[in-house]
Amino acid sequence: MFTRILKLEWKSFFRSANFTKGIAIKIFLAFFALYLMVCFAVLGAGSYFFVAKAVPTVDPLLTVCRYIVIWFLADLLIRFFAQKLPILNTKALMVIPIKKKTIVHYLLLKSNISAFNIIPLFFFFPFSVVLLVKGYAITNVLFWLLGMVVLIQVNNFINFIINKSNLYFYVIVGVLAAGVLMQYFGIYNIIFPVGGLYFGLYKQPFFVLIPVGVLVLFYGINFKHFLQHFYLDDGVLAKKEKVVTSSEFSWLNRFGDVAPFLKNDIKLIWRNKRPRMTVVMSSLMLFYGLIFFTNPVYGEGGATMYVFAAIFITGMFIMNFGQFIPAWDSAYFNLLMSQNISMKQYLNSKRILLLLSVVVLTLLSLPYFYFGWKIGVLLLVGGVYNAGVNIPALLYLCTFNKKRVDLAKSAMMNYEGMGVAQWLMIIPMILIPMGVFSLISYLVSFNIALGVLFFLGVTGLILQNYIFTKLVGVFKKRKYVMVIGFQQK
Amino acid sequence: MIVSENISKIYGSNTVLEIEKFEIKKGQSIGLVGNNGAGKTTFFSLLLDLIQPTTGTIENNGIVVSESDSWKGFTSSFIDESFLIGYLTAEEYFYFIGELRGQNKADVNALISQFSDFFHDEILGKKKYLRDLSKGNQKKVGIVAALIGNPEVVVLDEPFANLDPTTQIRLKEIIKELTQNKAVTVLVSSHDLSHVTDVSDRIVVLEKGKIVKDLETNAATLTDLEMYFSN
Repeated sequence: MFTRILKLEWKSFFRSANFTKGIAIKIFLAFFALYLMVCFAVLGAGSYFFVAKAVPTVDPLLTVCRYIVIWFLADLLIRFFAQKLPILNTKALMVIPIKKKTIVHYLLLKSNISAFNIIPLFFFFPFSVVLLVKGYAITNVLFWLLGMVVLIQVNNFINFIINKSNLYFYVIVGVLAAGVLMQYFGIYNIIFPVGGLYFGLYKQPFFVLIPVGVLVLFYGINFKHFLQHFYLDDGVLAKKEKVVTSSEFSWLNRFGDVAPFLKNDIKLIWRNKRPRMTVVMSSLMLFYGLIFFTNPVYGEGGATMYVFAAIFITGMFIMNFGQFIPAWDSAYFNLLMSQNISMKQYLNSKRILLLLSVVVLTLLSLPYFYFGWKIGVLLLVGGVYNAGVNIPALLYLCTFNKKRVDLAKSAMMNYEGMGVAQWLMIIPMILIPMGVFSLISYLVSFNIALGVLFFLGVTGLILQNYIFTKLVGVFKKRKYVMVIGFQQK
Repeated sequence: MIVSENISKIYGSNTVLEIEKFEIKKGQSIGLVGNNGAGKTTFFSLLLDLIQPTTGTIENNGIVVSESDSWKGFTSSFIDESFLIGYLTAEEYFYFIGELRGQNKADVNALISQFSDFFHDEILGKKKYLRDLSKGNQKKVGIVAALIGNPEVVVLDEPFANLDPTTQIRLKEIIKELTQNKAVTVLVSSHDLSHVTDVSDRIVVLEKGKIVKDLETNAATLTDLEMYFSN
């Protein structure tokens, strides 16, 4: 029976509408996975020596064991966000004579074949090899390794249990934070006893039965849960419905005829997973400057990297959210195209949204004046450049968007809606200002270079109506392609 | 009101629509019938400028639809769920459409209050997103939204499909009321011959992209159509 389900999956993978599309993205993802694997392997092979040097008085394996608890907690956090139970086309399978138990076992076992479980192995295997080379007892190392592999699986199944409620997320964060703080302030050294437990797996090979027991337990809990809830109106298959509170946003009415769209876009962001995550990530990027502006290395060579940071910080929303205009509206694009609005009004609402975001992000980045007036002025100039040059450039590139974006999916590692445009955007948005700036500040001076960027931004703002009218024309021509593209799931 | 000249839509070598001349007078209610693939939705999409014709033009009240946006002010439509915004509640959706069509909240409320029996207590005040409503209820929302803002042309694709019998009957009344004063032009497509003959005063039969019958509705129309489709 397993093989039959496997065959179905095979077909669904190779026959899916998206299979031939987005090859570039798949290649990119493959490279990314490869990159992670190499990183982990290097980390695995190198950490023994690194740790031996850093903490010479303690057995390096024990030191690694002490920090591995943080690894597992962090792993759980990442899983919480990004890993979902694989769903196969369960509805169709429910009514045909396959034992429910078989399907549930299949689902759970399938979840094992996941990057989350495979990539960590690239750390543990090389690490164990180094241990063997360094003369650790072979049986003990192998059972320790087995223990770690089993614990990765345990995390896999814990995640599906805790994924149902955000409460667990805060609990893990709380435990992690409390542990780190206690460690930091020397109140209680939590990683020592916990590290001892992991080290015990090495000392006493038969202790491996404990993680195996835990794994069996969690597998059992998952199995029981999914079997009990294997109904359309229940458990994983049920549609989640939320009680909605309507909101007015009447303060946006001052924007006149684009107000309905602005209100809608705010609801779009607030009520849908993917845009919401995008915006949260953009606002976290505000702290990006703390890395850049506190590190003197980036300030050398005419502060080119500062320009990068300034454009990045003030333009994060334009890049993250803006890149998928108008694909965010893909699910109801036909409505917008046949309702009583002109393309001009529609695009204008998007432009105003982007402008607002630049203003807000620039204002929020004002505290960076603390790091010196140069950086403060750079951020302001970055904001002006974003508003004047990057917004029209981005809107132009948006005319190439024709891939549907599903609002309900997670934004993490989600490449839906990605096309050539998303890659091209980097050129005008970041490379050109950096190039212009570094060239002029090298040839003339920092101030003049800053002035040129400012001038470019202001020119863009002065010409914005002219540019905008042209953009509307381009969008009108592309509309039909978008209508077809956005319908394709 | 609507004049289409020489309109055709060809995908590759496949002609999905080819109509020489098709004219709809103001206040007429037109029923478009035909089997799957006859070109009904294609015609509506052309009329709403969602796809480009291979040849020809469609004029809506003298405006060539692909050249200007101004027909949108007096035309409203509900084709499928791509006309609904899933993350809004029904009320929010109505108000949004209202705002686009120059209607304030009170206007919209006055209009939708007429449809409380049509909604059957399953839509208003439910605090649910449209994406969480059943297909039938979604359809009701879409149809009523297409009536907001006193449109002169209303386009409904398959409005009877997915509705329960009570609502189908009520929808027929709504469409009849709409065309009573001969001020509103209504275009309806349907697979349900009896419903569509009930509400239309002219029936156009499409087959493989061509108009094969164009009838004024009378007592014999339904039997005519049944004869035609059973062959």
